[in-house]
Amino acid sequence: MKKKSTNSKFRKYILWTGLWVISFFVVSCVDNEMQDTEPEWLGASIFDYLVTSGNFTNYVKLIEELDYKEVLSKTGSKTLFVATDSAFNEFYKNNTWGVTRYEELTLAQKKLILNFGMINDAYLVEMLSNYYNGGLAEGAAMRKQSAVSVVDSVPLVNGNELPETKYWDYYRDKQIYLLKDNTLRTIIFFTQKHLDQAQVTDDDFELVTGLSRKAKDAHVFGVKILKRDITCKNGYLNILESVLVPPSNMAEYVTSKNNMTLFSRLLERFSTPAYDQNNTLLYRQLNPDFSDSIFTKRYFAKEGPNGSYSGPPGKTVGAAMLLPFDPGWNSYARNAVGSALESDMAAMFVPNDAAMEKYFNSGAGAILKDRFKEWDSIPNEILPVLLKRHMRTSFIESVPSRFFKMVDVDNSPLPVKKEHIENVYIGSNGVVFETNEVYPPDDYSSVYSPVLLSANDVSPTRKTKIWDWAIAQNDFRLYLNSMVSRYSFFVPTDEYFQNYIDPVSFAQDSCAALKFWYNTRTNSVYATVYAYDRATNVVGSDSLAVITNVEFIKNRMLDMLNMNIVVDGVERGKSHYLTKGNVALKVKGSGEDMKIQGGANVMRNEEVNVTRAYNQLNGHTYFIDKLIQAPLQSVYSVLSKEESFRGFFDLLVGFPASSLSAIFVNKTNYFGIDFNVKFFNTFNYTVYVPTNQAVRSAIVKGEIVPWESLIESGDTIVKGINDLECLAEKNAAIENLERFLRYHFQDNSVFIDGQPLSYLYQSATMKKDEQPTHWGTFKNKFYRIGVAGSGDNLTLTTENNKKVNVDKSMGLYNIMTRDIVFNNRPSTFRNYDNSGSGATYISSRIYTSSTAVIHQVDDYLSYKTGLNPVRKK
Amino acid sequence: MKKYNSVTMKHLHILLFSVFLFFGGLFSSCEIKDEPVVVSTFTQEMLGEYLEKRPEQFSEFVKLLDTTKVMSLVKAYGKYTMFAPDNNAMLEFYALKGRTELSQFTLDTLKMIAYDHLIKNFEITTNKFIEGLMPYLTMSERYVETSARTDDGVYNYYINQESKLLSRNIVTSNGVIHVIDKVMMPSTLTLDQALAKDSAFTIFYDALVETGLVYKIIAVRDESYDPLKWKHLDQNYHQGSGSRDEIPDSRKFGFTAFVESDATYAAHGIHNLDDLKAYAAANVYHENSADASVTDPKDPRNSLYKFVGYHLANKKMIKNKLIDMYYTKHMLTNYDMYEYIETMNPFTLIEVRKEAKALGGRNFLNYIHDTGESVQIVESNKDNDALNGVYHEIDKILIYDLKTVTEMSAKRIRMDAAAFFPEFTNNNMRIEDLDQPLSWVYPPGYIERLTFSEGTYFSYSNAFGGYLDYQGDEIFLKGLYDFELETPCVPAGTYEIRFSYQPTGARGAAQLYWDGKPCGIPLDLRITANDPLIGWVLPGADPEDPNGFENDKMMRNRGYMKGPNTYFDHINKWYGGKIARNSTASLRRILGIYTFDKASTHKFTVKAIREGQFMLDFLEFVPIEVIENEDVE
Repeated sequence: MKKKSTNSKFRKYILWTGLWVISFFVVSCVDNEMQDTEPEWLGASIFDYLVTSGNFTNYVKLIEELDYKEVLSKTGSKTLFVATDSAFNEFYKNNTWGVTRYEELTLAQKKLILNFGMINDAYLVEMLSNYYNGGLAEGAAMRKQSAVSVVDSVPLVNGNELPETKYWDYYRDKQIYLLKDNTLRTIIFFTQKHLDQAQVTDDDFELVTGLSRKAKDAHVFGVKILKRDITCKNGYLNILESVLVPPSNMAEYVTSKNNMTLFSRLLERFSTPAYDQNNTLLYRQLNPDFSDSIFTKRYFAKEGPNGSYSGPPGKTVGAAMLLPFDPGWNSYARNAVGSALESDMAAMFVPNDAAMEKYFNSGAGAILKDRFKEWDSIPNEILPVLLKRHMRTSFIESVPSRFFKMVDVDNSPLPVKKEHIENVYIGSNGVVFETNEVYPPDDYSSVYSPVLLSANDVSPTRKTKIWDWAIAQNDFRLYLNSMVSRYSFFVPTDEYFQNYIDPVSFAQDSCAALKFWYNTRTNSVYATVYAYDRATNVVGSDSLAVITNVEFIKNRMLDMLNMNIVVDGVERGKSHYLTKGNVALKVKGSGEDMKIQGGANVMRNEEVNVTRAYNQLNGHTYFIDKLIQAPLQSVYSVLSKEESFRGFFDLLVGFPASSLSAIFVNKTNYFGIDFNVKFFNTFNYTVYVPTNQAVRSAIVKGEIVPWESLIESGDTIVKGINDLECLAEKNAAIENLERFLRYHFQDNSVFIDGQPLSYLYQSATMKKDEQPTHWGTFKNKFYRIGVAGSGDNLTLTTENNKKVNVDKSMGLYNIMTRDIVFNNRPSTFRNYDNSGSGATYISSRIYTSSTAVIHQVDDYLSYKTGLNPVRKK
Repeated sequence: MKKYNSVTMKHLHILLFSVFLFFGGLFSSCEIKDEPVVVSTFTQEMLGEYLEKRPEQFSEFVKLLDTTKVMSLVKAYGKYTMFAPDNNAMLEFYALKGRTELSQFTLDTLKMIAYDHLIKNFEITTNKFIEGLMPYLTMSERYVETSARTDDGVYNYYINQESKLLSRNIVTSNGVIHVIDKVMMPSTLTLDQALAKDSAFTIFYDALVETGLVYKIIAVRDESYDPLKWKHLDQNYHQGSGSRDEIPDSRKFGFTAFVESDATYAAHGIHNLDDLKAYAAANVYHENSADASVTDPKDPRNSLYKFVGYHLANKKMIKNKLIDMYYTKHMLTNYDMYEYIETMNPFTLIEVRKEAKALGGRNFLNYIHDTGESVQIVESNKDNDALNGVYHEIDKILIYDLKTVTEMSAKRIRMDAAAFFPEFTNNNMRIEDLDQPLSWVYPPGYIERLTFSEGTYFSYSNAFGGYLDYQGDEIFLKGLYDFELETPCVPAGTYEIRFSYQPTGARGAAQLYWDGKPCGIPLDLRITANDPLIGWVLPGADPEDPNGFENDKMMRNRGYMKGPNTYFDHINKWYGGKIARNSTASLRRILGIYTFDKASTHKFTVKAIREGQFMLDFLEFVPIEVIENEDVE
């Protein structure tokens, strides 16, 4: 029978109550009813047990020296992880602190050993996997906060040991009291229950800890618990296989390793000292002689001790510069539904120096070397995408058995393989996997890469800051990073972002040419306005206004982006390629000898030159020396100005404005530069314009009735619609004319572009009967046109098997047009110089557009089967 | 202590009225006479306990349940419907099988009998009975046919035409019991065997054999599928409807045959297989004209093969599941609704049109608008159930001819996402029960025409009144997903393709791809329709645009469309009970205009680029000919 304790009843009551409450919350298996006498199995106090056992003299000394004897003898409810003297003897033979005997341990080291092995609560080992998170989460925990005080030791760091970035320069020639983190360190447990629940396999465990395990084994970090759950009256004692030296956090570990220096230096660029007022005051209270300030090392990150951290006031960085989490945050807690500090930790895949060198010198990273020569020269702006790929917010989702399904924040696979892992370190806030591979982001290999890498180029002719901003603002990055696609991406560099003729102003009295520039103070793109003379094609030299409105600039940039991306190669031997925005580009040459023209470039008789060509994994990126400009002329505009198109144009514009058959419209949702084709629908089209003679022929043959009577030599050859008296006859003639005209509008832009083709396209005229036709078109489908060509001509075959050829004799072919849709009629906006009346110029928007290529054809197109009746006088 | 409550007649009428309001639309064409629902409640007893306490009635059936260990199931919490044969029925069954007692049957047989009499997850009182196969499966995975008739002046309910309900609607704490006078013995024939035995369809059966298609309708279930292997996918996730995503129990196959009787053929001058061959050769549409000369009937290009294949689908669809089941309370009853069924004639569809309820609510196959021609199911010979399929007699010849393809390729094809996957139909997921919305999360490979990345959580939530979804159901994903699905086939043509979804703050953003090419920049599903980027204005709110048509055009210019005006969230849980067109939480994204040279299936790929939810309601294939004058339906 064990002797009754001599402690006061009150203290005993507190202890028992504490143990009872804790066991309730952790669903303890300790079956301990409240009672006045201590049960026999309860044992001695933790301290008594250690003393009595006789083989914990090192630990007993730690307890006594650090003044914990009272606590561990009498009060409190603790869980302690201790090592025997023989384990300490092994520790003295080989440890990272270089300590060979107890006496060489510093006070701080002693505190670390004792406090790190102590949890301020009583837990059975299996109960360590439970935690309370609004409800009891059984088997879900793998971490607990330790009893190590943040200010147990506050290192004084020399300025020359600080990261070599501007944020630390002030301290370069000074010393600084610097905490690596100011949150509590955590102890990490691997228990059977948690491993099972998290589906972490024994193989995962072995790769992470280097130890094999048996069922029910429990480990603290990589140290096995030899004897567990020794029940003492003031808590539980667990005996470890070796001395538990408090591990560093991930950031400390990475920065301390001499084979991770390259990655570490990149990571350190995102760190900064942050004044720590609370710990400064606390430390001053504990050490009245201390009058200095304490700082904590912080990383720019989305998640950290106090949420997002973007730097000290006045020196903040943008959201794109934030790491996913602060790698030095001891009490790291994943920000995810159902996640808590206890349930998971972070992980990092850190390429060692050899891997970094290999990637830079001989791998896909050669593009970086080519551009920046060495790792340290890479601008900060380019690095977050690389670092983010290597930082994982969940250890559980990054164990080896899940390597195969890991993706980054952009949902791009992370191709880590077991054989890439050279070493593993279990830090207090996560696991660091040292790898022999670098996992570059898609941003480094896609067509976007040259823009990203050149965003901060010193040369304005190579700098791509404006385009990079436009891509970010309009969410094009992931589109351009799509590796299943193939792109040709044209990039005007900053120097050449000028002479943009704004389409809205083009339709106004005062026409503006914009020069875009990047404002480094506001990190935004602005536009300076110059006058543009349509007649002379001259851009004025005086800046007339500056546009700072982000939405306006974003809108025009979006339009430009859409016309600078071709979803395919542009070196396939054709002369014309369609962009994502349906705008056709005329392309000559290849690589750095390439010349490009959009419709407006043709109009202004200028060529855009490629200055540099990049061969990327998903296509080509071309830096160019002028802006590619889409056509500023609509179908209406072209047809109205060319005399050879007159016959066809007159038919098109004859419809009364209120008629549902009208083809050209200028009304809500169709507001363009002048008139838009009503049935165009954000697509690309071809318009076949019969010669004036052919139009006459169609009239004379009775295919159509013109608007005005055809009178020759005083004779009325054909009575025009406007002269018809019978309403039914008139309506029928109008409908017939509309259908005739629409048969000359075809879906898909087809150019005479040097490549043979043979294909069927749809017109804009609906088949309304079941008569068999040459192309077998079904009822209620658009009549079709067969288009064939050898590369320098086009022959059209109609539904009634009529052959019609593109007539190149007057050079009236491959004419590029664009029907733009604005948010309102251009005349309702004030001019760029604020003259005129109406809404501000900067409130104008380009909504969408359709493009068309116009060809003159030598005869009219007809879908009608059977013989055409010939009208007689 | 048991508790017995008699429900007053007043309450019963209210209940009855509510029940019929709920189900009136659903079973409109085939409801059973509206007998009052008399419910006996024993809410302090489990099903098993109820039976055990009445040995004079159920001792034999209890013995069966004990022997097969099904008793433990029906004594535990859950939801069941049990058809309990009384002792006389059990003894009669023994005699019929030449036995005298239960122990003379094998355990497998007994287990099958127990499962034949039990429906899991649903409590089906007689007010849910219909004239025909009900859309619920027994635990032996068979449909149950319900009917009612008057015998000697007494109105009786029957199960599978033979088992009469002796007492009904006994409600216990874990389910409903109907006592029956005869043990249920569903047919164990597969669809091909059932057709072979039916003397009304000999010519069609001969053609089925001649083309070899008979071998394509014999599969019953995927024996390699083991739900236990996928337990780790269970994240205990609950959908907004409250349902918990389950791992599918099994992976069954199923088939439907639409069959002309010999008499119908005779009316068209077809008296034997050769006649049918000639008919097919003369009328079947060939997209590739060279197919017309293929003479081997086992070649999928052959006319007879195409003809027969067009009568077969790889989904087991009782008539109710052709379209009626999906005409949920979400759908406004003054509009027609359409379903599309892929057939075994490669790359062809059958259109099922459900006429607006106001016009009669009839169903038509391949309705031709100009002429009013269509094919219909013969009510008196529908829902012929087999182990792995069902067949229906049709009143006219069903054929994919020029007329059909002309009609099909000139109209908007709107396909609910659930219609893409036969697995949803064959495993009884695409159903609606107003009392019990259900949802599933799918293991990789479960859905044949779907692939997804390891981390993708792909689930389906069946119809729920709180969803502002077409037909009330939706595909749902969360986290960082990456999936690719193969669409059903669409005819050749140039289409505007649209993707319908509900934007909400909990969604993420995704890059969409059509046939491997990105459809513009990523779609942010968090942006609701009234965001200035999209510009939705409530139809009628602008006096200058009373119908909202100008606003429609403006939205189209930005690549969006409002939801259709044909459905709403009928229980008004989150979206205000508004018609989709009038809600900021319903959008269609225009993916682009695509030309398909021939009838084919297509790949729709979605990859999350911003973590969050994703949902897919339906896809629309709109021939560009239709766009200019398209309605708002």
